[in-house]
Amino acid sequence: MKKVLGEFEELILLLVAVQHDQAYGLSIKTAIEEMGRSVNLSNVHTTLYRLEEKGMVQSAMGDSSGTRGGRRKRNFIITQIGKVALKESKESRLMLWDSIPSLVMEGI
Amino acid sequence: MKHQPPKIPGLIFKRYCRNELQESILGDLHEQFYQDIEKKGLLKAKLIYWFTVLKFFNRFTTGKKQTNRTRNPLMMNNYIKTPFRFLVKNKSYTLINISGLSIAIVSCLLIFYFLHHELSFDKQHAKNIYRINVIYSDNSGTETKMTNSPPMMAPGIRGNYPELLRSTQLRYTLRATLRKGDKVFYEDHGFYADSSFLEMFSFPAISGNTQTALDEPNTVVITKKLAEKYFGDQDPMGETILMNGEMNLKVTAVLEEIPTNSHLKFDFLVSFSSYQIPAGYRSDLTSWSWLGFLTYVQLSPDTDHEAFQKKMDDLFISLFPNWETPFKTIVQPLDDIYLGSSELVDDLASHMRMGNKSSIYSLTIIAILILFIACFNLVNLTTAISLTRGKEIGVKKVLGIEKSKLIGQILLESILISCISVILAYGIGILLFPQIKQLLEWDLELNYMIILYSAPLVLLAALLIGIVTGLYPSLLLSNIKGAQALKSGLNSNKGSNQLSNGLIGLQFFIAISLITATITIHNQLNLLRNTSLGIESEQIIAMKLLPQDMGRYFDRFKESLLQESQVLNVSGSERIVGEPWPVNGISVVGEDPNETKQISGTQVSYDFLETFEIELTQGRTFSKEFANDSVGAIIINERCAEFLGLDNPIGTNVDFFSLNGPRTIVGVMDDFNFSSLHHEIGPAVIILPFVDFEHVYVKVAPGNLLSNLNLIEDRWKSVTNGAPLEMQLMDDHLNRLYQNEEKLSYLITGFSMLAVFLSCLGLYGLIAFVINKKLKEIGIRKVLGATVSSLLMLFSQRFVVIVSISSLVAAPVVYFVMSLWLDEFAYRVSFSWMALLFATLVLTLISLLTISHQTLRTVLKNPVNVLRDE
Repeated sequence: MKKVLGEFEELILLLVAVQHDQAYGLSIKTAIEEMGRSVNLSNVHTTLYRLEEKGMVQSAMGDSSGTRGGRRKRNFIITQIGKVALKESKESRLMLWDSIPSLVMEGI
Repeated sequence: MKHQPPKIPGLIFKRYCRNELQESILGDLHEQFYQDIEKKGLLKAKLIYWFTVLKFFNRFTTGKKQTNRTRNPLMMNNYIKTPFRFLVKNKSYTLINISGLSIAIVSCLLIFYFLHHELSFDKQHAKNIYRINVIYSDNSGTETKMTNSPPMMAPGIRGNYPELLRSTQLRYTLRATLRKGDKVFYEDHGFYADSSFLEMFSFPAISGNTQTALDEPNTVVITKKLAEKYFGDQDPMGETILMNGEMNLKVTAVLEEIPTNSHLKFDFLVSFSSYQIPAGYRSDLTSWSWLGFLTYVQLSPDTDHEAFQKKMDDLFISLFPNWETPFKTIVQPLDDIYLGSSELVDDLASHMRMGNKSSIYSLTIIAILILFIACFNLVNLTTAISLTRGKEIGVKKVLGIEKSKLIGQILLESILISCISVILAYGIGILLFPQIKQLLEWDLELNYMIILYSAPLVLLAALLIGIVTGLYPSLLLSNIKGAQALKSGLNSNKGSNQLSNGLIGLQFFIAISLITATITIHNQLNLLRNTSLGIESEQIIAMKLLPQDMGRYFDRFKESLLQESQVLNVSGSERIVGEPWPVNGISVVGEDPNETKQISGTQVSYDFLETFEIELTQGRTFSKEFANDSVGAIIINERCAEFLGLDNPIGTNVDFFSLNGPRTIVGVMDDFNFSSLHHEIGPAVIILPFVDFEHVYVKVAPGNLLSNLNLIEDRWKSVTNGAPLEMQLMDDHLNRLYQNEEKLSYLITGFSMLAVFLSCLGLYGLIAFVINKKLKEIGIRKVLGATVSSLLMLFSQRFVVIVSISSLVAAPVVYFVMSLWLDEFAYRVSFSWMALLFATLVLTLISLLTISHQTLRTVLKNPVNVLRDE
């Protein structure tokens, strides 16, 4: 079954790849907020779990640095399936970008 | 670090969140909280903390760890496929179950459709309508409850009671002719009514204003059927129609067809102000004692109708202060009238529909019994067949099927069977409905809306049947140890054997009871048909004619008939023999006038006693030689002489309630049963007619019936210049008095045959499986020298024992129920134990035949074929 990526899922998956090996719930949330988009921590977590269910990310318990009351982080890394999905998504976007007539995008 | 995150949301979170996610999420929440304090302040940080915890509540955080749960669509498919495959593979099992169950469900559907109709009577009208029934009692205290009330009732109470909103009254029309142009027909169902009747009852009108339609005299409201019959495509509004050749009635409204679930049966309503009292009646419309009208009242909502009844009783006490036993009343709610009037006497039976509660009860019970039998079959067969599924279950078990799935699979099989049966039953029911309706003379139509509405309920019932019948076998199978099932196959355990014995026993019990009931009802009907009423009804042709035709033509008609040699006698009467006669007060002149006694009486014309061959024990019959007979003579029966305490009745003068002046007893006749054998012979009198009567009897010599009928019709036509007439044989008429019993007997016969059939069907299937399991045993027994008959014995004895026990249990139950039913008759057969014995024998025989058919097939096989493959 072809696994389709939603917009928010794609964003999160990208950030997991960006913050390689350091990605956990709050760090991704902070990164999204830095991009000027507000989001609830629970949405980020839920999406991460959904991606995990689809096999696109893997999680493992990490260190407990930071003001966390000694609790460990759950770190996420992107899997092969995730990478393929990201790549496909990017390629399909690029293909669409390439086929926009130059005239349309003039003046941007 | 002086601030701490709020505690409560943390606790809530711990309650719902899965353990393995708790640590990391709480850590993130913690970290976010301190970041937020710096960026947004303490309060906002706390709020966000709260909000986020609540938002975390979703399937990832709450769900159990999902291990092992196969969400494989291929497997799902398999779960649905296997039950189908199983049903297709075991064709005989499926066939027996589905046919049995759908037969049972068809019976239930038809019965419940009928019951639904019976319970739907008069529901379209306002809830607060009541009928006032009057009870009168004679001095001995015997009460007679009448549906009727006096003509002053409705107008007399109007406006006198605050809770009384409306009151109205009806008077039936006798058989009437209606004529429009050259169209003239007899109409039997009509009422005289006033406008408040249509205000009170909600009979929808097609045209005209029902509120005022009957205000003026000489107006008529007709139903759609009549409008089409007399006016065709024309608009009947404002047209006139001629009633009985003398009264021109203007049509002021047309009603929709009166639904069949209305206790009042009518085709037209004539304005009450046009009602004329028949000549000869002593009473008039101001009477408070002439019980000949129907009174309906509408009380304000929430009125206690029993309190109102008390007021009506008080009214009669105040009206007749001298009466020792004044009239009492029953204020009967409208929706109780159809089913709750069986104790009431009414003399307009043809204008009213009356239901029968006991037939409703018996039908419900029968429907449930039949359904039970079919369900027992399903349970028995499913249990039996499960024993042949050892390998399948074993393999499944060994491969680790969950118990709940195994149960589900077997339940699904029985649900599938019951659902298929229901769908089949719907189809069969709709196809059979017209035949059943005709057979049982049901007065109802097939309403597809009701069928549609009931469909979800019926499917739910199917689901329930499936679950109930599948539960035991599925539990039985799911408890089996996998390896054991694979190794040695399944053996019937004691529990399942006892259960199937019990269920078979119950089926036999039901079947025996129904057969015995059938025979008892049949015996009773035969008694009713063959017991003489004390009159000679053979070779008598009864005719129903218009009262005014009778007045005009009867004498000439009789004269012309008597000239024919085949015609032996001609007479007539006000009430047809076989229906109860009106009851009136009688008292001996010279005795205390308060000593009025109630007796039945009717008007008959000359030669009545001769026509019906009723013997006189004293005195003489009515004769034209005594001119005074028509106004001054009365003939009583022996019971009546006894009742009045007259040793030498001839010549005694009596005062008979509705007549002008006293009458002299001129004769005493033998007791004969003037109504039906439901009733004992009561005291009765006959007098010569003072009003026009409707019924004529012609006694003919034995011979060609058809030519006799033609002769009578010919004479009638020539005397009246072509007035229509209706004829029937007196015997046919008298047999129809027991129509209800006959219908009941059809029904019970049909259903008991069904019950026997279904029981045997189940037995047949069960035996097939049992024997299949014992093929080897039979083979070995044969090899060791068992005879066919001893093998038959071996398999039959279990069922013979069950039948015997069932009949023993059935005996007291059937005896009790049938005695109750027989007690309704004045003339009854005693309960026949032979019937029970017969039922038991028949059932034993049928089940033995069923068993031996199956057994013989197996027993006659060569044992080598069975034993070889080991």
